[in-house]
Amino acid sequence: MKYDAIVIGSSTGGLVSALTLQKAHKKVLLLEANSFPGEYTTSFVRGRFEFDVSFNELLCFGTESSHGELYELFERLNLLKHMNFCKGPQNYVIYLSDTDETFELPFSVSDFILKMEEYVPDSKESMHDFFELAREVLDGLSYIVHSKEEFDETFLKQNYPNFMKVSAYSVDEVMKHLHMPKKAQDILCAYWVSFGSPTSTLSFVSFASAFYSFIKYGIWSSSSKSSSIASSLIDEFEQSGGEVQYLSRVVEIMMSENQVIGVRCDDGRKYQASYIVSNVSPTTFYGTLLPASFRDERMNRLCNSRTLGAQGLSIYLGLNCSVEDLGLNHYRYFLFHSFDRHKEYLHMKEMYHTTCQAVVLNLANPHCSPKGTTIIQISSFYPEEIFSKYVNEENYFEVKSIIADTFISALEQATHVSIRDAIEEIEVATPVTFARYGGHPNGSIFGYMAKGYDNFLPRVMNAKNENIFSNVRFCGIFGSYIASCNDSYFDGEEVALEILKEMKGDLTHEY
Amino acid sequence: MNIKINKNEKKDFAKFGNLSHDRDVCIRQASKKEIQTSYFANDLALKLHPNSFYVRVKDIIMETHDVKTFVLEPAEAKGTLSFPNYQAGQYITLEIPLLNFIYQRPYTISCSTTHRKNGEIQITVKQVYNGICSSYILGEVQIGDVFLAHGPFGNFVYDPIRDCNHIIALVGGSGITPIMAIAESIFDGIMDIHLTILYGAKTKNDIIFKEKLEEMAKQCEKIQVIFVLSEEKNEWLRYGFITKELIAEVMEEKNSFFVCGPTSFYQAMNSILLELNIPNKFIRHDLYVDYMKPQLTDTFQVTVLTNGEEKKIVCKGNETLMQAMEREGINAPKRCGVGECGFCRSKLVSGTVFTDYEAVRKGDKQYQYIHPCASYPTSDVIIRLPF
Repeated sequence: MKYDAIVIGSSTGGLVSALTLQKAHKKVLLLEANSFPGEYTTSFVRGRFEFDVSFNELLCFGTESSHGELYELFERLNLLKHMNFCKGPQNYVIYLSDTDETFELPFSVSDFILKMEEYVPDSKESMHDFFELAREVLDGLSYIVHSKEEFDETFLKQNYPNFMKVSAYSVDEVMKHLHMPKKAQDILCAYWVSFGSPTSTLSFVSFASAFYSFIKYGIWSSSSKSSSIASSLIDEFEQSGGEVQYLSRVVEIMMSENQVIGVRCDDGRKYQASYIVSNVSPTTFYGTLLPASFRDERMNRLCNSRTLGAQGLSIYLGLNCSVEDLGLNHYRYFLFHSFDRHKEYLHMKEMYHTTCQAVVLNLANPHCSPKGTTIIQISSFYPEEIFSKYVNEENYFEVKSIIADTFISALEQATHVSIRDAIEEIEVATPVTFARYGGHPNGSIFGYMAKGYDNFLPRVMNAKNENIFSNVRFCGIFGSYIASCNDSYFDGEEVALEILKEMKGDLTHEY
Repeated sequence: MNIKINKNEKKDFAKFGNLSHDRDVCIRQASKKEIQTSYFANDLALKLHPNSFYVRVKDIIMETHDVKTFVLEPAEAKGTLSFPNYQAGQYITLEIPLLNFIYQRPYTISCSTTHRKNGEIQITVKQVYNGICSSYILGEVQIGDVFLAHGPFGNFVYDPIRDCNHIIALVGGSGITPIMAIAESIFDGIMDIHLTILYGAKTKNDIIFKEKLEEMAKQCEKIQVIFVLSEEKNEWLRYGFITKELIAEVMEEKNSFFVCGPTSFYQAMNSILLELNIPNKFIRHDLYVDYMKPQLTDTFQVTVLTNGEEKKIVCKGNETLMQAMEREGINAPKRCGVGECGFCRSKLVSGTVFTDYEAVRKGDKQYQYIHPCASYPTSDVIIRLPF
């Protein structure tokens, strides 16, 4: 049996690419190693709580009056009929533990600028400039993504000159030239922690475009569980005739005359296909799944030139009190020691650090847990591998408890709310947990680190040169896009469209 | 606005033009050494959660007239050199080949991890009425036998952040196994908490681990055990059932209740805990061993879609879809066997099923995914297995 395409892994990127291909009437097989779809966007049940693994907030979803790109993608994929969405709260909070300071920042660009002026007088003008630049960056990026390698540099220069000028620089490098008061820069840049890369290496274009969408559109989420997005993608895929096999871990890439022709699963079954879409990282694909005799220096250099991204760390809390009883007023908290981003990043390299984001889910989606209860999710990361220094099979459970305890204390300090006594269910996901379910090297949740020439733009612009096998594409967190749930949706579609275009043009295929 | 990073903005434009090329140079200059294939977190994940491992029966201990403890050691000849670490209260599953079919059953580990460090773990098995697997295990299994195992799994474990420092274990019959593991962990100094066990059994001879529990309670002030016999009057032990009064008697200021026993026992304990106004947070349940079975004795046709094939079997209204598949020799994926873990998660293509288990996720309910190991048919059904 030969498929047009096999998609390895059902992360959001994999699901969207599988569905996009299937909707174009290709014969698609989706292979998932777990018994459920969604990878990091799935959910799990503990007692009377169901926890989403990731925040999976929908950015770029738009507003009631103007739809964002993600809304349009969901519309194309026919997902809107499956789900209802709710708009999140009006602001987010930054808390600095060294000084016990709290900053509340509203969504919507104009409100944000006004509030910033309160915190930092005389920041207004530079803030306007920043958002204007961010908007141009977003438009420029969008143009490049849609026109691929065929973009017109003259057109870009005419329409998005500022975007071009900042395109090769990091967040820190560009911020220096915005004539923005330092404190305003600090408040604005707190969002860096969502990327898993420090602002010294994260490209300004990635940061600015995402932050612009974050502030402009606010946060939306599924009014059921975030995992219902993966469920509806699967349903739509199957309704369109797609085939899914769970508990099917790909263990080998099948080759014939230097060409990838299919995959072999852990149960021995083999499947052939014209194209492979891999959610498995290039590192694992070339280094482990590809038979040794087909590996070459080019693959080695490609993988060795990159740095694995930060490793996931999440605490899931089911509380037996309502948000009102607890007295929690804010949906999302950014918890830092101070505004010193460099120090904060170093701090995160410590085993028991406290830098994190926390969300009180019920304030975005009141129906996410039973009446009278609350779900809090604390999310953080380790910038680099640290477990090998401190953790082993014997102390693992103990370590998990200490990690959770440390973050809970930090959150209690930030919110001035006692959370501990209300904990009815608790689960901790460490890099080991993410490695177990996602299978990615060291439990990376950000794919490769966004750093220097391994940032979004160079990745996308050089993508074609990096295809070692013409019929293999990578998507999901190890795709070209900078990893976050939302980008994976778009990445998945782009990969599928590229394949469809090639299938059309390639007369040797029987389409 | 007009931003300038470089004084000469031509340089910034040039940088844009070079992005792809510069990246290419970076890649070409990178090391050509082989790609790293081993990662600490992945290796540790595989140690803690191996796909499977082999156990060899090292010793068999007769506990009561219908209960045996099996001391298991890693089956080195099969390549298993050590057991994965676990938490007291967790279980493993064993694959049991019988009559041309491989059954899979969950068994709670009934000892502390001190045993694991010494190269063995224990499971304790009670004869289940009409139980194919328990009959085989108790009747046929001998020292030296080797089984394929999965796990450890399960969330019936003490959590220092969530649970109180004093655990009251409400135990019915063979529900003692996970509590035994917790008691031994306290005794061995692995866990620093207080444990009061209220253990209900029919007669003195039905009490599992009686001497061990008494000995531990005697030597360790953190452990207390009270036996309650329902069908035998004995001058040394209490008579009757575990009552509200008895529970109130042993309660301290803060208590977490760990409940483990058969369904009727759960129901009795739940209503007492409700009367005592104990919030959910302080009540942990082990897996339901047997469910509220529907009383339907109708027989339904079940069409199982797997591997591109279609198999038709029958299933009675009071047996789970998994039981019917086992009987008919269909090898569906399975782990916990009681609806919790979701390993057997399958699509209900058509028809209806009954389940009183709550561990099915919202999205799965919406799109009709079920856990066949805890689902009873209430009409003819078509299900599609995970593969």
